[in-house]
Amino acid sequence: MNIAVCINQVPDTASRIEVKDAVIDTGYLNMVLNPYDEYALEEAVRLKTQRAGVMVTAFSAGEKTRYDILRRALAMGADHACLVEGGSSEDSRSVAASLNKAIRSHYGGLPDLVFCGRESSDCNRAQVPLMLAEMLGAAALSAVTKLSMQSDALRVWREIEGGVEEFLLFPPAVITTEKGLNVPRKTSIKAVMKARKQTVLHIDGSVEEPPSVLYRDFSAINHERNCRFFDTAEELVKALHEERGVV
Amino acid sequence: MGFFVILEQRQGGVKDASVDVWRTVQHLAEVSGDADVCGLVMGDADRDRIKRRCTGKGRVYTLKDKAFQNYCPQCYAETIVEMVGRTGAEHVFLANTAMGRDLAPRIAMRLDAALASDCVVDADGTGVLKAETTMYSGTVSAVIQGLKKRTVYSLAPRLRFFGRPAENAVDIVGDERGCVLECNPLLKEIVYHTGRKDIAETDIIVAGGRGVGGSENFAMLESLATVLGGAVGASRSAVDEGWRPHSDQIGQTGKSVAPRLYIACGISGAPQHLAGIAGAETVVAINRDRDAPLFKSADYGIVGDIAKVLPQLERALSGFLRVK
Repeated sequence: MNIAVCINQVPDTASRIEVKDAVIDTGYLNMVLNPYDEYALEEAVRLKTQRAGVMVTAFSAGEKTRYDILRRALAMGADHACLVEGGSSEDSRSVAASLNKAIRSHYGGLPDLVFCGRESSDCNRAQVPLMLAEMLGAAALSAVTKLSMQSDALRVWREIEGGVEEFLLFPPAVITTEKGLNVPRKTSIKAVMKARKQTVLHIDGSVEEPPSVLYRDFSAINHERNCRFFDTAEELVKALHEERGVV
Repeated sequence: MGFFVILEQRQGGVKDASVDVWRTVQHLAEVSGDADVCGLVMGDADRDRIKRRCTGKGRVYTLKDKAFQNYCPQCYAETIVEMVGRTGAEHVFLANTAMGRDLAPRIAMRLDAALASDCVVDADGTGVLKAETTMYSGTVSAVIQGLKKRTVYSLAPRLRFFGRPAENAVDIVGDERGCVLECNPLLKEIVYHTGRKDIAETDIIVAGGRGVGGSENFAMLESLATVLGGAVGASRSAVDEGWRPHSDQIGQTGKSVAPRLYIACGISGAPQHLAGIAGAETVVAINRDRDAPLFKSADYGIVGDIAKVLPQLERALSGFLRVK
């Protein structure tokens, strides 16, 4: 069974993003593996222990600066890591198209499963995995919080507002992983050292896919409000009633 | 110009989040002048209730086939794409719910449309729509410009900016179309939580963070929420501590909420959390630490131990509500 895991690098959540002249300055940011992709890698690697002949390959589309996260994937237990080169990161559709090309050429067809994080923690659009599924012509389900492998299908659960949906999913399929699915392992020093010696494969991901959206006019958001302090709960209730009409 | 609204049906009713989208689109259509608005409800829903809630102008198609009763990614995507094609709408809207997030990229791809996720849309009167989204934990905003003939928008939860249109000229049009696909993924079961409101769907939220101190102390929040008729949410710290389930988490890695009243108890106010409550109308912060960042993003604050303040607040509210 072949499992592809698509991973992305994002600014460390502690980073403060600066906007200069309506453009985001990413130059000095500390880049890390997207937290949601850790659940994807962990789940794929766990399936290796449940079933014989599972091969896990991590893919990431972009520059060589992604070696760090690809090595992290290897250290977590992926068998191979591929840097997908030559694509554009203009919008989600371009990225999905690069991954589609790379995955198809790597496997000479489709893998059984593709795991991706629910979204990247920088842009939070949750678009690439489902677009990739459409391009692969594979079934897909997003934001999975529980998964169990059956003989020919997967039982998958996802949370909706006010409840939980359970689906049967037949491969080939794309699954996006939500917090709660598992607890990603910490990588041992030994695993990190070993991963450092492994080769990262390079795959051509150049595609003719014009961007479908343009993001512009970036500006810093100010969430500040004017806080009025009260000494007693009674005063607060009065203000909520008289000024806001919420009680 | 044509607008198409996907109205999410669950348990025989249209979701509040979708009704909000409908009202937003009615507003956009009005500002844009000569615009046609279509809605789509999949599955069997009460027609009178749809008519009562989705007011304004236009038509709502209802597809009653029982195969559509619950969310099926494939047949929903296929059917929506066909219906949008039939109406010729250029702008397709849905709420950014669990279903909306799963569905939007599928239909955008099949319609060869641009996709504007988790955005707020406004119209300037010249017929051009302006979509804005946030990124980097809600600290940066950006304008999304669609470069295709069509655009699919998933709208971020925002308070009902636009009231219920008084005009009620919406036609409800039944359609017999059914599902003809072999579905994958195939829905096995949906379990709805009974007896508790979801934080994404309530007008009043009482949320707790690390400052609550333990899962047992959430009883104070539950009790206050009951008095207010609201629900209890949690910050990421409280969820990571195992005090509350992930489904209660508010913020970037959890749910974005837009209640009329948000009461934050012992929540320090990380940027990720503030991003998730950007749509809240009134924010109240209660924290022992006067320098907690959340106070800067709150309308009202009380500095104090929540173990002391919450019971006082509950008493004050109960007293007030009794008199009222």
